[in-house]
Order: sequence, then structure tokens, then C-alpha cells
Amino acid sequence: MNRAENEAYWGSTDTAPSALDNFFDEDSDVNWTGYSANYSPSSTVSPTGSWDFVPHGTQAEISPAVQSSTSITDNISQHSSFAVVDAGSAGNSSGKLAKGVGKAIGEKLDSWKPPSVSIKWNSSQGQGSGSCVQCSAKDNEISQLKKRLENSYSRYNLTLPPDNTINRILLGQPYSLECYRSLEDKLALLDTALVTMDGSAILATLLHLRNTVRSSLFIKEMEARPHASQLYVSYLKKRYNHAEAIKFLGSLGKSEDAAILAYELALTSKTPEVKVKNLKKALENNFTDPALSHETKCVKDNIKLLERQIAIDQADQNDQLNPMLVKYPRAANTVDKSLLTTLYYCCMYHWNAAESHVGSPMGLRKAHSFTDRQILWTVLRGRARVNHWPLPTELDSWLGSKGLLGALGSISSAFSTAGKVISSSVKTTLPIDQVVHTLSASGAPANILAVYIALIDSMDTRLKIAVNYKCHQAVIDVYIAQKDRDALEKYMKEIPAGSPEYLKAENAIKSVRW
Amino acid sequence: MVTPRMVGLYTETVGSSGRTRVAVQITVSGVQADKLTRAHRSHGVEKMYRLERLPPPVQSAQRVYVVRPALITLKYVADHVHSDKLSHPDIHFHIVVVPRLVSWVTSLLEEEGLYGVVMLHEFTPDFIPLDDDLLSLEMTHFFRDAFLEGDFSGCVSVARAINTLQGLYGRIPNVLAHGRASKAVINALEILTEQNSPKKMHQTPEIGHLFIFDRDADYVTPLLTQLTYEGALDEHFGIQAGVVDFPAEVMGEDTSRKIPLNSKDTIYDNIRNRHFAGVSSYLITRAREVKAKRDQAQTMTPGQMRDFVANELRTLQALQTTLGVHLKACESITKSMRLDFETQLETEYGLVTGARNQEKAKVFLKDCLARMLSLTSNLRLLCLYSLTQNGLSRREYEKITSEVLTAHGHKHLVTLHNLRQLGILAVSDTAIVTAGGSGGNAPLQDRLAQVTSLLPKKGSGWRAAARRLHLIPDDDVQIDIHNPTHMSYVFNGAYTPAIPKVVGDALSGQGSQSLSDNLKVLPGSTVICTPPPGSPSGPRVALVVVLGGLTFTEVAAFRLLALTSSTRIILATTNTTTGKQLISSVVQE
Repeated sequence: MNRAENEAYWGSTDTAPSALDNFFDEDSDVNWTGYSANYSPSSTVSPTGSWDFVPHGTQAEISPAVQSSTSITDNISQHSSFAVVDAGSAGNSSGKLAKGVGKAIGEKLDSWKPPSVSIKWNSSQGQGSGSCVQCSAKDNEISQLKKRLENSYSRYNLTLPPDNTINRILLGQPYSLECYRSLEDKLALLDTALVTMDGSAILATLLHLRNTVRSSLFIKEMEARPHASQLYVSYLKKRYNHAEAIKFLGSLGKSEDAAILAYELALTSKTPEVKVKNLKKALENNFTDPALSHETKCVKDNIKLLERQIAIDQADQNDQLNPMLVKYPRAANTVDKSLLTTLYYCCMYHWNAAESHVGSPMGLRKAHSFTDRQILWTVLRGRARVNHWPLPTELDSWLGSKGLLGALGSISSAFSTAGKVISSSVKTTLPIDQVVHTLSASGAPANILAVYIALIDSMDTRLKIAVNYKCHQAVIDVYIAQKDRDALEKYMKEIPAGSPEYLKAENAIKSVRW
Repeated sequence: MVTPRMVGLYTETVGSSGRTRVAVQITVSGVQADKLTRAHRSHGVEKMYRLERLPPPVQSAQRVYVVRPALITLKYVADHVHSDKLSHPDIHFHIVVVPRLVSWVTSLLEEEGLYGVVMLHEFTPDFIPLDDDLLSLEMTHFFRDAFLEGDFSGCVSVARAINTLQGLYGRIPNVLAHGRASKAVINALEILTEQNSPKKMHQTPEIGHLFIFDRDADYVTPLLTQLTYEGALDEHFGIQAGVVDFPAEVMGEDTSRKIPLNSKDTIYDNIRNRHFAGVSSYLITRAREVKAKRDQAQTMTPGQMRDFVANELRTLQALQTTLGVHLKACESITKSMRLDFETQLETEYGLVTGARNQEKAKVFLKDCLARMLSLTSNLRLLCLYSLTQNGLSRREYEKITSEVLTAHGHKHLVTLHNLRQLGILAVSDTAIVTAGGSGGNAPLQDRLAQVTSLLPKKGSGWRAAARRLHLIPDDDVQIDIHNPTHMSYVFNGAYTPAIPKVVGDALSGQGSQSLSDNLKVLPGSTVICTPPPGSPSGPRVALVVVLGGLTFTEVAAFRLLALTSSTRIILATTNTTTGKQLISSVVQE
């Protein structure tokens, strides 16, 4: 039964057009005619460099010949060229030390021409070009005949052993999968391909299977072959056939892979509004497995954040009244950015906004879960961007432990600091040396730096950092605390006379009991 | 290398007199792209285009596409052909697929009804010598294709390149291959060898050993911060096909400039494998020497002076320029180092050796996440943490990953999933996920299990492998990072890159039985071939192929190994890489 009859019997198949198995289909006869008509004149063509036109000119007409003619001519010429290479290397290789191998490797690769090219080069250099063209024309003829013979094998259901066919795919030679009709044969073919691990062979054989058996059977066989199904999914993805891939993964029971893929598909939506819609749809359809509770939560967060971002953008887009927006024009809106970037943005532009305002950082903080560390770092950096450096006491009010502030936040901070909720503060949450560095890099004034430096417990570290960032006030504080009058007097030389720090130091020397 | 072959290909496809328009998707980077351009120009190629969605203007009768065998690319090409074929029926289309014409390319064109309308060609590049001892195929997509998507079709191209080398240097008698991709290469190599003329079998081998490894044999090395000079250059500026693109401030010029990096530059040859800490002092010493020589010239007699100008001056000037560039590069790298660089290193080594408090490492990681440091560097640390802990507990995983998503965006849910597919991020207690056994590790485990049932159980993982292969040097081993004798110098003596270590063990004649036992701790299976008794086992020259990317840190370790084991080691890889590149290749766009 040929395929036309099959289709008539089974009705139209809903699968993609059979792709690989009709290399040598009925219409190839037409090609053969066209080919021979073309071929005979070209074999007698003038010897001036048209050698390479012979096979390729015909390729245009006979499609199935493309691969084969290239590879076979290659094979033939390969022998001659290797003879040349061998002869060349035989002279020096015997005496050559092992050391020379690598040194020469670049040059050798450079000078080595692939078979087909080297012949052409010879002929173009006029070395017996006439005879060579004759030879190659003959060689060509032989190879074309060889190929016809080979093709005729596969045309008449002469089933080749699976490994033979797989090797042909691997080597880029013509092959036919039509002759593998029984399920057993098809699976043997697929399994042979899986052993070689070659993606090209595996995909060719598995598509042959898909196109020729009903889908439940296909899925059953794929279940037992994870590598094949992995390749199949990535094939569908690359063809933008996500729906099919998600369905396939679902039927294999890989709910996590299917869910992630559905999420990935939703991400490609063009506008944020459509994205929200698609994310909700994906959530509803693909995140039902209870094992995915973590991922489900992440996607829900994503939707919530995106909706808020859209609202913030709408509010800020045309807002001429917010002085911050005027002073620091937005480089980009915050839609699709991460949660921390959004918080950073809100800290920059809506620091003083009422909590009910959509852009309020405090509102955002309550709506989403953050760790103390994330809050503090982002607030610090966001405010520093607009040249405002909050004091540690101001920041403490952002932490989950204080007052009525965000229940969510305090839960997350309870985890992160493992019970030390009560004592959580800037000091225990952040590495202060990093904070000082960040502040100093953003141009924070010395008195702010001094407050932060004072949070460091070790006097030595405090001194080191204070000196490093030239924070005179902090240095003076350390010396006073250490009751080191000599050091302070010595340090005063570093401070410009008359500056507030200088006066402070002077005052300390006079008044403090050393 | 590329040029003559590409030229040959062009004359074959379009004929030397044809006026041709080429739409090229530059799949080959750096030097190769430049050479391609030049090669095309000299063969009547009028104009080159980067492949885009819309077709280039039709101005000549032939058009050549040079593309990777990626479906989406081919779809673009098919659309071009469809739209231009209507208006210009006489135009000829050629598609050159690099590196391999795979089945789905042919079938896509067939589906599009273009089979026979366009002419298909295949071009398989051979190894490109980046240096005397370093070959590359510049297949930058290999890692993602093979290790994330399970498409090992690139292995056939690697096998072809190795086959070419065997054609030139004789069949390599001793083979040790480990890993899934390596297995695929060995398979393809066998099939290719059968096709060769039998004559070649009897050629005296000039290369004694062939080693093939997968990148997944050692993910820790790329995840750690690189400390050799060449590695640091690659991390900071990016080395592509042996060429670095120094920005303007390093060159002291107005624009950035591409500088080839190889052993022809004697200064570079001296510093490339050094520990970064020793590079600038070496450069300064050399700079002083050069200056001293030039100063001597001040007191020379006219005769000496003439001699000096004729012979030495030019060299000295060139030396001075090179020294200047590298000093500036050092300076630029040092400047861009984070304040907490030391803490970063301490954390990394603490994780690897298991010496430092893990809790401290976790706090550091969370702090890095809260500070929104770069995504790749954060993910690197996260993966290192997961690998060295043999996976995270479910609760830990959920907590840390939510922090990743908060800092870098929820879309990285996909990235995290990809990292878990690779196995460099893992949840150790998958038992909690009972429903349908659909934990993220399942696909990887299945895949591995299919290849070998000898795999270590999840959980015994990396720590066991490190112990078995002895990757963490003993405390009493003295590591001199400036005059190294031990390969772990590349990581301050905290860790020895696994691939050089295994090759070293094999070369030092460790029994193949104990070696293959040790290799069982790495993912994948081992293939070992030894020459039949009586036949030559070949000289002490080893070809080491690393599939999925080789870091310059490993290159440095191999160069030291070559010295200490008195073996000539030639490295070959699909591409040179860094942890940053590995991670970026699986990051959700």
C-alpha cells in the first residue's frame, strides 16, 4: 500500500507532512530524466575549469543527488589527495621528533587542502589539467552510477540493517526510511540511532516513527526513551510549536517541564498586558501539580508584580508634578524589571508617597516578601542614587521586626536571621564595610559615613576604614574612644585647620580627660 | 586553515566568475569572520550581509547563505527564498550549512517545498590552531546544544576534525574517553575510520594518546574565579578565537583594538599562565630592563649607536609597547575587582575544600544577591554552592531561588530550570516531590541512566568525585603560586582542575583499571582503547579534546602538566570558554 492509498484509507493525518522518508519517491523519475539530459552534454564540456560545474550544475535539477554527489566525489578524490599528503609527510615524518608535531600542527593544517579543493588547485596551476578533468569526469560518472545503484537498493523495500542506515545518516549519505515498515524495525532503527547519540539520526528516525504510527503508540515508546523525547521537545520548541511540546510533556507525566515551558511561552508575549493574561492562563492550565507549589508561587508573584508595574508606569508616564521625575528623568520604565529594581525605582521616585500610592516603596514592601538584607541594600542604593543617605535609625524602621510593618516581611526575616528577629538592624544584617564603600562611592558626606562606621564593633577595623575613606570625624571618634591623645594630635595635621572636624578634635583634646 | 577551504567551497558552489551576493549569518567569530570576509572578496562576492528576518536587496543572480543548522535560521532563509523567488525567478540560491548538514535542515526545506530549489552544501571546519598547543572548532553553541538540549549532533563534526588529524598524524593508539558527548565522538570516529583507506592504518602514529572529556566532568573549574593572567583576561575582556578586544583605555588610543594573544608574543607567552598576583611585578621588572637598555644608548659611541639603532631599537620599542599594554590591562582588571574580591575567593575555596563554615558562604551568597551583583556571577556562586554541597535541601533551594528571582527577575525561573537540567544546580531531597516523580532532576537522571547504570547515586555527587580523584591537595603540600610545580596553583592551591588531573594520572601510567574505577564517579561512561600488543604505543604526545568548552585556567594547568610529565600536550576543544559564558548560554533571554 503506498502512502496515497494509506491516506485515503486512514483519512488525512494530522501530523506534519512526512518529512524525511520520501527521498526517493515516485517523482524522482522526473528528476532522473532531467538529470541525464543534463549530464551527457556536460561530460564532454571543455576542460577549462568547468569540472566543478558538472556535479553542481546537475544538483540544481535533481534534488536527491545533492548530498550524495558531494560526498561521493569527496570520497573519490580523497584517496588521491591523501596519497599526496602521505608522500609529503613520509619524507620528514620518520626523522621528525615527537616534539615537532604540535609546533607544526598549525602549519600542517594550514597547508592541508581538503581533497576536492586540492585537485582544483592542481588543475588551476596547469598541472596536467586536461587529463585531470577527463579523469574526474569519469570518476563522476562512476560515482553517479554507484549512487544510482545504491539508491535502487532502498527504493524497493530492500531493508538495510538499521546500523547501516544510521551510519549513512551520520556520514551525510543518502538514505531512506520508507523501507522500515514494521514497528519493530522502526524502533530498532531509533534505538540504533540512540546508541550513536547523534542528534541528526535520532531526530530523523523519531520523526519517521511519529509520522507513521498513531500518537498514543508514539508516546508510549517515547516514555521509554528519555533522550529521544528530550530531543523531540527541543525540536518542537525550535519550531515554535510550544503547544504540542507542552502536550507531549504532559502526556509523559513531566509536569514540571511542561509548566516551565508554558511559562516560557507566556514570557514571549508582546505587551505586558497580554503577558499578564497569558501568565494567568499558564498558571491555570499547567501549574496544577501540587509538587509545583514553589514554582506556582513564583509565577503568582510575577503576575502580581507585573500588574503593579503596569500601574506604576501608568501613573508616572505623564506625571509632571513629581519633582523627582523631573529632576531625574526616567531612563526606562520599571515594567518587566525585577522586584528589587522596582523597589529601587520606588525609593528613587516615590520615597515620600503615601502608602496607598501605587508607587510607594513601603506599599511594595508590604505587598511582596523581601528579606531584610534585600530591603536595606536596595533602599540604601536607591536613595543614594538621588543623593539622599538615610541614617541607620531611619532604615531600622524598614525592618520587619518593628511595629506593625509588613507581616510578610517579618516572617521572611524570621527565617533569614533564624530567631534573632528582635535584634535585627542594619548592623546585623549588612556587612558594614561594604555599606560604607557603597555610600562613599555614591558621594555620601563624611558625617553620614561616620555614623555607619560607628556601627562597626572592632575599633581597629573602624579606624582602618575611617582612614581609608578619609572620614576624619570617625577617626577622631575612634581616638577619643581609645583615649589615644598622641595619635589624635598627630592626626590633626591631616585635617584642614578651622574645619568642623578640626575644631571637634581641638575641643576634645582640651576637654576630655585623657 | 579556513581561508583555502572556504575559498574552495565558494568556487565550487558559485563558480569563480559569478557575481554573488551573500547573506551570511556569521557563525564563526573573530579572526575567522575577518578571514571569511577577505576570502569572499577575492572570489567575486559583492557584498555580505548579516542574516536578518527580511531578505537583503536582490542585486545579483546568485545568493549564498552561510548558516548554522538551526531551525529558526533556516526558516528565515526559506522565507527569503519564497519572497525573492516570486519576483526574481532566475536567481540561484545556495545554502552552506556549517558545520554539518543535519537531517532536520533537509526536512525543513522539504516541508517548505524548497528541496531542489536551493542548493545545499555542507562545510565542516577543521580545528583552527589558536596557538602551538591549542586547537579550537569555535563551536560556541556546542555546550547548550549538547548538555542542555541533548543534541549531540556536533560530535560528528568533532569526530571529523579528529579524523583529519589522524589522517595527518596516523591513528592514535591509546584512547581514553569519558562522558556522553565523548562517547558520541568515539562512535562517530569509528564509523569515519571505517571509511578511510586502510593504508592510513599503518602509518606510524605521531601522537600517542587521545583523551576526550565532556565539560560536565568538571563544572567546578569554570565556576571558580580564574586567577591565571590569560583566564583573567578572558573573564574581563573576553578572548574570542585567540583574539582579545582591548578597550580604548587599555590601548591608550582612541578606539578599542583587537590584539592576537599567542606564543609568538614572547612577553605574553611568559605571563599568560602566571598567577595574576605575579604578573605586574614581572612586567615591571621587564620594563625596567628595557628602560636600562635604552638608557645605555645615551652613552654609546656613534658606532655602537648605529649598531643599536639597526638591531635592537625596534625590538625594544615593540617590547615597550607590549609591556605597556599588558600593564594597563592588569591595572584595568585590578581596578574592576570588587572590594570583596578576597571574600569571594575565600568563600569559593571554603566551599570547595569544605573548610569554611557553609553558613557563612550562604550569607555571602545572599548578600551578593541582595546587592544585585551581576546575574552570572551570582548564579556561578549559587551553582558552586549547590555542587559542593551535593545539592541543596528543598527548603534551602526554595528560599535561595526566590531571592534570585527577586533580585534578577521572575523570568529566571526558566534559567534555574535549565541549570537543574544541566545538573549544576540540584535539589538533593527529591523524595519530597512525590507527585508523578516529576522533580526537575528526573530528566537528567533518566538521560544519564540510559547511558550508564554505573552512575553514582545522586547525593554522593561531587564531593565523592573530588575525594576519589584527589582534586583537593593535602594540607601539607606546598603550593608556590609564582613558581608552580603543582597544578592546583591556578586556584591558590585549593583545587586541581579535574580534567588535567585525570590526564596527568593516565600519563603517569596509573593502571587503566584503577583509573576507570575512579572515573566512575564522573557522569557518563568510559571508553578505553589500548594498542594491540606488539604494535607501537606511540610517542609521548597527547591530544586532549574537551567537549563543551575549555577554560584558560585548564589550559595553564595542562601546560604545567606538559612540563612536569615531559609530554607534549596538544589541547583541542569545541571552544574556549569561561564560567560566565557557560552560565550565559543557558540564561533565559
